[in-house]
Amino acid sequence: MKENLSSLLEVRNLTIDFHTMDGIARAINGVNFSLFKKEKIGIVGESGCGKSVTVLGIMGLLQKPPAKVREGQVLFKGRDLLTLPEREFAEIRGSKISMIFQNPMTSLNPVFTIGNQMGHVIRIHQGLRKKESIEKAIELLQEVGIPSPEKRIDEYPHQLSGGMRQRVMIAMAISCRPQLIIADEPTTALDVTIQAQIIDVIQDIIDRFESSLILITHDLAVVAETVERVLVMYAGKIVETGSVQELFESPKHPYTQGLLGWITNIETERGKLPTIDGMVPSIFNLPEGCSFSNRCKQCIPICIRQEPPNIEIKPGVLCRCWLYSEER
Amino acid sequence: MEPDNHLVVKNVVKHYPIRKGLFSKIVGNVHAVDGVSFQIDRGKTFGLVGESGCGKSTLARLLMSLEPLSGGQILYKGQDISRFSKKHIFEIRRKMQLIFQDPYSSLNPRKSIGHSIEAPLVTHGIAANRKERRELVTQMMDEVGLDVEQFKRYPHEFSGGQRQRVCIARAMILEPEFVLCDEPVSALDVSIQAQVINLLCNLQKKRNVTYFFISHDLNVVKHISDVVAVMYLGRIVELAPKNVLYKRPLHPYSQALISSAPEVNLKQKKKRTVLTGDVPSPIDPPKGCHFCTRCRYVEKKCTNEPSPELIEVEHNHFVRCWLY
Repeated sequence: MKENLSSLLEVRNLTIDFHTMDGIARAINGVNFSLFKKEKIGIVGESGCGKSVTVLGIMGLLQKPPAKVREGQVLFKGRDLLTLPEREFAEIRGSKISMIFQNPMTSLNPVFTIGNQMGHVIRIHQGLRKKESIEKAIELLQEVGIPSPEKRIDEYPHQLSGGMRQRVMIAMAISCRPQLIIADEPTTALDVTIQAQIIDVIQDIIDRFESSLILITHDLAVVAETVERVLVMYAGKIVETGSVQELFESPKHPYTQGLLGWITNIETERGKLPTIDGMVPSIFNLPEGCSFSNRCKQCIPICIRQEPPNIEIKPGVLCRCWLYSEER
Repeated sequence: MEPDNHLVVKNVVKHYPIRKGLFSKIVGNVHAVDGVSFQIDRGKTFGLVGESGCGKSTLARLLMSLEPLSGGQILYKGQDISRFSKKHIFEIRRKMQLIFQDPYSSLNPRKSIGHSIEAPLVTHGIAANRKERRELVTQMMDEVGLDVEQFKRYPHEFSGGQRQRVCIARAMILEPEFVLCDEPVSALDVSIQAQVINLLCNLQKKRNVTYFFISHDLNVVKHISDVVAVMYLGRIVELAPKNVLYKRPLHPYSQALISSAPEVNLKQKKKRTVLTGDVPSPIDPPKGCHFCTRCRYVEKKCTNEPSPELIEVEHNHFVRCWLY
């Protein structure tokens, strides 16, 4: 129970379905994790594995229907967000928990100035007057390293470059000093040199504000440089959890091993790259046993029949694979 | 001319005029590609890296004669293809093929993939009849790892990786000598990227094709290329064999670019040289060296004098910088 006290966010058995014309899509299936204060975690996985659905579920931003939370709890400081009335949730969203999205062009409103949009957030959550909110916005822009913020505040999103827009998004996200920042692929749409800048800004902000971070990305290298603990997702489930060191030095799950095999090989020499054959199974029709069984090179009969349990290999290292079970 | 120079690009320039007003007066130029020269040997891979907007894709369009040049020459096996007539270009296209970034938008959703792969054969009048064409198509599908049963399926039934295989099959079926890949794996997931890169490497070994490989992903370029060029704002700033470039980049921009690429290396945290600021607009590039606005080593000479030339610093290692 000691864990409960210091954990900021606890996701318990979160299961979200999408009811579509083609049937029920099991987007995420029993996701469990907890996040401590000042901790930085990363969620990695390929497209469609449920990374974004997980955090949108936490933020209560999924459109329902088609989305439906079948079971689970999201405890933020002990309160279950999923059962909160919308008005109370709205107070937390944006002030205690805030989010940075992937594409800053589509998440900023093109017809309002930067100052207008930032001021809006500040006024709603902090009850400041208009003039004060603009001053605060300028201060925030300065914090994220935007040169001459007094000028930038009156500009429209299209006048800024991609990196600048992402900085504005970050400034907006931190405007209420949130305890938890969720960044959904914050650097994917940016160039490498700009990506390095933005990662530095996020790191710096998190450390200064003593917030927690959930970083979602498909780029393992970004994760390795930014966070402390990693969750690997595959087909709607967390298949491996561990510290960055543990995960990159000795990956446990065959899927993680495959992913890392590629990244370490591509950084070295020319030659045949190790691949993971086949494709991700459709979430409309998940296999009965382990979802990775159809691509796994170490597949054993039980993998196809029965879903593997989540096994704690070492303290803090969890892996969902039959290879580490004694019951197989 | 040496026989193994497959493609030689000499001082290629492309400007797009900006027109304004009633009489469409030219008020300025977008300097998309500004004096690029290089050469590629047969059967080798030439990698081109650079950030968005630096002119990579414009250069690609110029190489494929999809746009007229504003200046310079492109010699394909010694022939200047930039002065070719439409008819000639059509013929040369058989030998030069393209693979695009986005396999979703480069396939016709109303055509079965078999038809899509077959189309180049029809256009160029290869194979006598339908039966022969079908045979070639099934052979090709087999070679790129597509199930022959899928001949009649439509693009939406495939995943991204498989669609990219279809695009590769379509490009390779004419047995080209030169294939230009414009970010062929950027839209794909990591586990699928590896499959596609392996496929491209295998095909190169088997058919001795030359690749011109564009990507913003430094690791992918490092893996696949023999020679790598770094482009910044319409100019090649550094050109070297890949091992030399990645080990000892000389131009300040290449140094920053290579050091900003994230890396899985937990033992030793990389010291990054993080660039400040953004890329200047290609409409009004800085007067001297294009990189002078962001460079750490900037001197008076860099901003005042016209840009330095591409200098061979060591064997096969070219840099465009006053420092050398």
